[in-house]
Amino acid sequence: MNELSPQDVSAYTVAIELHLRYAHGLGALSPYFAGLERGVALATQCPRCRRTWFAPRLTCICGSRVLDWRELTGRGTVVVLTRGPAVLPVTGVVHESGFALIRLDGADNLCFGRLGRTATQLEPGNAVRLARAPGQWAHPSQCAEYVPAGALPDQVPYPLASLSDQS
Amino acid sequence: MPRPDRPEVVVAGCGATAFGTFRDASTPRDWVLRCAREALDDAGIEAAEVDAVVVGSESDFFSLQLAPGALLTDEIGLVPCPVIRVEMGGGTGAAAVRAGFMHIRSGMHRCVLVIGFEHAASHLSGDDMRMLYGLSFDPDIDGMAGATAANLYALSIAEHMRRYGTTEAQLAAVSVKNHGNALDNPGAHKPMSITVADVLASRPVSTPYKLLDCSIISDGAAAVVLTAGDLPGGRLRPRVYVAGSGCASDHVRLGDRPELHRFRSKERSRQAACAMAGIESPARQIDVAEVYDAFTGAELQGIEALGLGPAGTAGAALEAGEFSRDGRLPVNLSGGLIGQGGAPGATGVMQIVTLTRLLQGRYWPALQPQRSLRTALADAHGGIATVSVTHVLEARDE
Repeated sequence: MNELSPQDVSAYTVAIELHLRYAHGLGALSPYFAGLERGVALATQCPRCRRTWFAPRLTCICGSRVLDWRELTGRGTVVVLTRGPAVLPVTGVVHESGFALIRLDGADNLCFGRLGRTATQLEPGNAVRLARAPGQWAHPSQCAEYVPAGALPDQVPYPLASLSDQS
Repeated sequence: MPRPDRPEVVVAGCGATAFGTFRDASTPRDWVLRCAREALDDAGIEAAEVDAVVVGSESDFFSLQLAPGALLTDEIGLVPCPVIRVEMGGGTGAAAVRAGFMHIRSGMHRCVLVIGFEHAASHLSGDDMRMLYGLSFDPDIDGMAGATAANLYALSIAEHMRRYGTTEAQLAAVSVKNHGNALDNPGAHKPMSITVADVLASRPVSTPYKLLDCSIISDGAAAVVLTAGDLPGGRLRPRVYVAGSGCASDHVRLGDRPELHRFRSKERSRQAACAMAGIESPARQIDVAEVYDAFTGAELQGIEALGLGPAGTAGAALEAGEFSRDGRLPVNLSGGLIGQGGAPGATGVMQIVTLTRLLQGRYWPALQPQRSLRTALADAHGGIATVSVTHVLEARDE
């Protein structure tokens, strides 16, 4: 029988794979995410100072703890953008068109948004609108993309629809 | 100004591993043991004199180790010392130093070992690391939509460029400087002799950032021994004091901030640290600084937020050599995150190691300025400067 001397053992590596499954709740922001799944922009609005937040805040910067939900048109303006490939988390989908900070009409803050495939020529100052990206997504935030405001309806997979239109 | 009724805090000893991609099958247990022993020996302090431990580590996903504080305290031989673990994204190490500082300033402890580590470069694939970093920031609203550190920093610097005319060549000059400084730091992950043209020609990542504008993620560990100022501990001279510590936060989502290009948390953190240290004009009174350069533009934004130069001028000043090793105020002599590398739990601790050695005149010889250094500033943050930590170090002849 061969004896193993500790002095003869150099540091070595083992391969470990983890597979994790989360039941991930979306909490008080659920209306916002449900809106994105339908291509609808749901913001929160402070009844005290009237500031409107999209992406929504649950506490207003004025200190108010109670905010109302309000539907925006989904139209807005690109403030600043960046281009380069990015992998959407969990999906493995490589996105090439770029990302922007967008001010939706009626909102006091900017939202981070993925530019749709039809948005390759967009520049800061251009008008865009929220659309529902085609396909099945791992997370509601991945459903949202921003396309040129003038894009024809057949250039986006789903027409804008109000949440109130959903049965 | 420091309160006279609170103990002052001395950096009594330092230890660190190199930063890099460790493919020798070593682990954080090995690295921490090595640098903790080095820091204790550097201070001339026995393990039994340590009365508290702070451990900084950004992510259990990286290290495959939950509750590392208890394990490392035991492995170093410090049981039954109290221990806490600190996490603050990229600023984790800096937050650990601040926690150690608060332990002593509060009067609760007298000798604190602060350890930072990260197993970030060799343990997981690049794709797995990117996936995990997608869970940073606001993961549900921004991260899952595709937000990454690269594209969020890019959006912030794009606004800086629009507002002040900061150029891609100025960003590239940061990369040239920091990779170049790393050439003389034997512990650096990415030493490179490159030109502005090399940076501009490197692969686009997220406009305006290209590959050589980005810092790299590293394995590594660092440790410092902090002691109360009235203890004799620490045999090295001049004694280096933590004269000021500040921390401040900003909105997590970039779009919720009123000015995209400004690092407001860093401005506030610096103001708090400098007020505590009695620094009225950082640009005049700070001799050397380590600034959190996750991306080239972040160094320029950081220099401005830290008051080391007026808003909108850092790019031109850097191009003119003001922040080079022989310049008015050397920034990132270590190479920073871009040249030395970034191991989030260790980075902020390593900054204190670097600056302490610089103030004591015992840094890497080619990087040690010939002139006397008396006051240094360390800066780190988590997120897109979402939470910032600033420390002011001061050398005193006693």
